[in-house]
Order: sequence, then C-alpha cells, then structure tokens
Amino acid sequence: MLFSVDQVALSQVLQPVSRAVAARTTLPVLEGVLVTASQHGVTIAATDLEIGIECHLPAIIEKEGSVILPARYFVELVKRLPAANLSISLHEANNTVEIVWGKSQYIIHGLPAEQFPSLVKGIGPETFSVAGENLREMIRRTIFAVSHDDARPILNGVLFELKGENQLLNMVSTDGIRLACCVGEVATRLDQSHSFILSARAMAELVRLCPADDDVKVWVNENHAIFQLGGLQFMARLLEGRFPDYKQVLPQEFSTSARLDTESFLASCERAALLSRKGNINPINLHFTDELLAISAETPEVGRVHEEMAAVKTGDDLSITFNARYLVEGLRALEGEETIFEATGPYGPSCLRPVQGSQSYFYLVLPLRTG
Amino acid sequence: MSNDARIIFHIDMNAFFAAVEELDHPEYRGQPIIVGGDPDGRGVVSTASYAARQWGIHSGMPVARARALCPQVIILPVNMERYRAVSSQLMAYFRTLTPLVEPFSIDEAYLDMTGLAQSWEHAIAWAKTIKRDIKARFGLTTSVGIGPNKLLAKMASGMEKPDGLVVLRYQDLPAKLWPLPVDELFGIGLATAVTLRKIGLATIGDLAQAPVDFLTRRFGSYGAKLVAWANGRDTDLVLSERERPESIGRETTFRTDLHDPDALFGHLLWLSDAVCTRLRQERMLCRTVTVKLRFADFRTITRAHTLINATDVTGQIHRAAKRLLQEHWQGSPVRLLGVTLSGLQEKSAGRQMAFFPDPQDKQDIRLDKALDNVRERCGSDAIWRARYLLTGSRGKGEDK
Repeated sequence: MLFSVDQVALSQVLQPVSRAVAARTTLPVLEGVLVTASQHGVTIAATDLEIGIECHLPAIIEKEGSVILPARYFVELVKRLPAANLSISLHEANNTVEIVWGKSQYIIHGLPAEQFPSLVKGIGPETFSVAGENLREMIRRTIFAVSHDDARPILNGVLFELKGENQLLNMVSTDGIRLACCVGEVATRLDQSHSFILSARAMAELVRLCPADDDVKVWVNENHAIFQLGGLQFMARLLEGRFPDYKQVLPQEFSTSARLDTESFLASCERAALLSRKGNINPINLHFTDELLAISAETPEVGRVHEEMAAVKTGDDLSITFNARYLVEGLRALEGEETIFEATGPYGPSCLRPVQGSQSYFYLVLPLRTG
Repeated sequence: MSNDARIIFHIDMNAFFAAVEELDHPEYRGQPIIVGGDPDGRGVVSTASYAARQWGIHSGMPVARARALCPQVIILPVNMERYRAVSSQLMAYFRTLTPLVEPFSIDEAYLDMTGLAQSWEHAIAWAKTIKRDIKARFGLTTSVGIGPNKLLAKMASGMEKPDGLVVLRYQDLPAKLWPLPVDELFGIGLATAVTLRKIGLATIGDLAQAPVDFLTRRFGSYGAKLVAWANGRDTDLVLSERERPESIGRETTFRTDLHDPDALFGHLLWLSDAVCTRLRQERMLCRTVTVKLRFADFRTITRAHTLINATDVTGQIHRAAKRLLQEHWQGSPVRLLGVTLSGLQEKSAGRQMAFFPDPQDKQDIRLDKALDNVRERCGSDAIWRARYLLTGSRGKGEDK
C-alpha cells in the first residue's frame, strides 16, 4: 500500500470516522481505523460493532493495500501535522506504516487488515431516502424521550416506522413516562412498509453527521440500517426486540384542550420547577379554568410560586400535576409560537403539539398521581 | 428570643376525616356523616361531622348507637390513605410558612411563628390568613390556638370549635383557663382527674394554686408538672419533623464466605425485601439501587442502577439488584452483601404514572401490601418468603 494524500482532507475524514472507534473493548482491532487504498481512492472505516462509519477520500494511489492503525495514535498524529501532502506506505511483512511529510518520518505499528470486522454496506437501490435537514429535526425531537434504564433495552432506542401507503416516516421514542412522535415525509417512493429500532447512541452520532442540504439514502436489512450521508456511510445495528404497542396508549379523545403561547408556557414551567424540589422530582401543578392557566408549585423549605397566563380553553376545567422536567423537555422539542395542550383528565395522558409546524409532532406525557 | 416570648400556633383540623369525605363527596355536605366501621353497624365512630354531632353522636361511640340516635346518618369506611395524603399536603403548606412545624397527629400541628409574627395582633392576622388559605386551598375549616407555648396553644385551639381562633396569653389564664374542670387540662388523664377531684381540686385554677410539695407527695415529680401546666408553663419546643433519611441500606456479613449463587441470590432477595419494607414505612420512593459486594480478600465493589421511575415495590427493586449482581459477580466467594436505596423522594410528592407498566408490578404490589399488613400487626419477624428458609437468609443483616 502506497498513496499520497492531502493532510487537511485526511484529517477531515478521520475526525467523524474516529467517533465509531470503540472506547472500551477487549478487541484491539476495534480500537483502530481500517485504512484501505484501492484504485478508487482511500477508504477509512471504524466500528465498535454497534455503529460503524466509513468514509471515502480521493488520493493518488501508487499501490493498493490495507491495514488497521490504532486510532489513538494515527488520528491524533494526522491532526497535528501541518497542511501538506503526506505520503503513506505500508510495510506488509510487519504491518508497519510509514508517514512521510517533507523530511519528517513517522512509523506506526498496525494490525493486519483481515482482522477487521466487515462493515455492512448499502448496496443496490436504497430502502428509502429522506431530506437530511428533516432527519436531523426528527431525531432532535424524539431522541430526548428515550429511556436510559437498561431494564427494558428496547426503550433505549427510537422506533422508525415507514408507511408504504402514505409515504411517511414515523419516529417514536418513549421511556414509559412520556412518548414523542414525529412524522416526516420521505424523499423517494417507498415500495413497502418497514419498521426498525435504532439505539439512542446511534441516533446521537447520526444527528451530528446529517448533511443540512442533501438527501440521506437509507438501506435497511435484517440486522442493520445504513445511512449514506454525503461521502460517508453510517451503519447502525438494529435493536432486537419488540417496541411496545404505543398506538394503544394514544388517547382517542380529550376532555380538556387549551391553546397557549409556547414560549411563555415553557418559561413559566421552568420558573415553577425552580421552586419545586422534592427529592428527584419537581412537581408543578397546572390549573386550567376558562381562559386562564394557573401554574403553581411549592417546596416547604424553599417557598412557593403561583403564575397565571392566558389560555384559550375548551372542555372541562382541570387540575393536573406533572414532574416539571417532562413538560419542559417536551415544550423545548415543539416548534411554533403556539402550543395545544390536551388532557384526558388529571390521571391520564396529556398531549402537547404545535399549532403549526413543518412536521407533524406530538408529545404525550403522564402526570404525577398526588394525594 | 427567650422561650417565654415565643408565639406558638396549634392548628387543629375540624372533624378532619368527615371533612375530607365531604370534600370527596359533595353530595354529603352538611349531612350527618360518621367515618368508621362498616354499614352493617359494627365498629366505633372514628370521626363525626358537626351535623352528626348535633344528634349527640361523638367519636368513640359504637356505630350501632350512632345509628340509633340518627337513623339517616351516612356511615363511611375509614380511608386512611386519603386522609394521610391530605394531611401531608397540609403539613407541606405549613412548612411554606415556617420551617418549625411539628405534626402532632394526622390532623394537628404546632407551628413556631415567633419569627413571622412580631406581636399578638400580628399573630392573629397571620392566623386569619392561614385559616382563609386552608379554606381556599383545601376546603377545610380549622381551629387555631395561639399561645406563648405549645401547651397554651393547644388549650386555646380546643376552646372554640369549629372554625375557632383563640389567643391564650398568661394574662388570659384566670379568665379563660382556670374556670375549666381539671380533666380538660392537656396532659391529665381520666385517673389523675378523678384523684385530683377527690382531693378537692376540681378546676384548673384550683390546681394552679395548689402547693407544689403537696402534689409532689401525692404524684411524685408529675405533681410539680401538673401545677406548672395549670399555670400555663411549658418548656417544650416545637420540634420540626426528624430529618428524612438520605438513603436506606442494609448489609449482611456471612459466617462463611458464600459462593453458591442460589444462596447469594436468596440473601439478595431478603435484603431487598428488608430495605423496601423500611422504604414503605418511611412513605418514600427511591430511584437508585446500589449493590455492595465484599469478597474474601476484602476487595469491595459497589454497583448502582438508576430506574426511570421512582418505586417502593420490592419486586422492581429486587429485579434491579439482581441484574446488578448477575452483571458484576463473577463467582468469587462473597464475604458481605449489601443493598442500598437512594435518590429518595416523599411519596406524597406524587407517584409518576407510566405507560406500558410491567404486568408483574400488580402482583408485586399486592404481595408487598399483604406482607406489610402482617408485619405491621404482628412484627417484622411474623412472615417470611419461603425462599429464605431454603437459603438460610432469614433475619440477618444490619441497618446502615
């Protein structure tokens, strides 16, 4: 293997790819990046078996070949080199790589490329594609509601549902206390329906890589989803198991509905939460009467708060208590000036959704049962 | 401020259980209600509403007798869980006024208002505000007694019921307290009252003027206290509730190091059961479960797991502890095993509801309730899970 490549281009590729390098592993190969020189250029890949990233960059190839280099040294070294042409060659007998820049020379010991696990690639026509900007927003508006309790690992992921009949992508997440659902349009025609679950970890990496102005092609197979993000392929292992039947908990009708100014509602909830601390929770009470929402909270040792804001209410009066955190996080995920708050009663799920918005979104949240 | 210049409130919820029932059942409002017993007319009256009291019904009376006095009386079962919930909301409200709140029973509390009320007039204004607040926020009427100490505050609140507000200062004693019969003085039981009357002390005033040494000869040191009380002297401070625990833990050191998984998991269940029972007694919920392991070579590890939702269900906590043990115990002999619950919160702050609850939960909650019931009545050793007999994990472990 012998090629020459621009330091800036190589470093730009190594940064995102190295995020897939395993942090703690008993397999040394997973601590490395796979460098492959082929007639098409250079490919850099890394995986921790849960996610994988592969990126291609142009280079002048003099001899094909491949090797695994320890990310800790290779990535950091390239980052610190000046912007110049680098010549990289492999001594195949002992997997040693020589990097030459001007009169400087660096030797790094690598591992044989055959030991690297093969990364699943998106081949053939994609399963679907979606605008990068759309995907990024959808992830942002669902990822925060996943569970971090590994008692039910399936809830540590985001459910993707693709509906062949209406060309829509549903993303759903829940930790058992609240549930976020975002519906977006797909960019290419779907032939059939699909459903799969990706871990929050994979989603968090994916959102960093999403291009702002390009479509993302997605391939889905039995165990993996592969995302084409510009010149980069992102692979994520699907979570195994069955996502709970969330449709069963979606309320069919609401007994109270109110229209609120999103920003003031959020600010009020945040202020009330400040003066409400009971162990790990911040209970705040919402009291809806005609045209008025009273938000109140108290902590015996701290004090209490009572705020009122305008709310166009229809249906029953309602007094309901939430852990403030769950309201605040939901409100932050909304977009638009106005929010519709709908409730099924003091002990049933409530729903937040924007009055307008580019994507259809709702956030269901369960209250605290007090008294 | 010295002790005798304090301003203490005693707040008494009028006919509390009946009042809560009236709140929950507006259709009964103003009607004669008694709480206690079953509709078959067994048991005794726990609380009678003021409407019922007009028929001569009072607490402690057999329900059958109450029904004889007032055939249309509404008999309701005791819903202690609900009263307790309202009570803890009330206590929480009191604590927004002053940190010095001493709950005296489910429907009474002492508040040290010295810091807030600069004068007796100011204290009365505060008392009116509190009464109005409680009426508005909870729909309940109260009798407030104000005095320079707990004893006089308590005596004062008893003087006007329902919906009273009485100030009892030292200068008010001759007119307001002393004419009352001795058995009305707080701290005097029936037997003492009989003895006092026998020796010619019929009113609180008689007792206040009696020579102390005469009474100490008769009653010992209690005699001196009686005279002090009759003179309105009481040095008891308002003690705010004891600190809530930050964590609840239990651990056990084995007589011989354990390497049998069945035995170890049996002990884990016992420890989980013990800490959860304690958690429920404290009326708290927890979110974090920590398992502690000390090996034969004294190497010690602690591993924690935080649940999404706070709980007090033994089954849930045991399952979390078990997962931790399975994940972190590789089979080397164990000298000590411990389970600690932290991230505690008051149950009264509210229980977070959940979508998709584990179907196992319902059964676990029923089992906890049954075990707690037996243990409350017959002691903590009265009932055990059969599993403990197999693993010999019964009754060991120290509170931490």
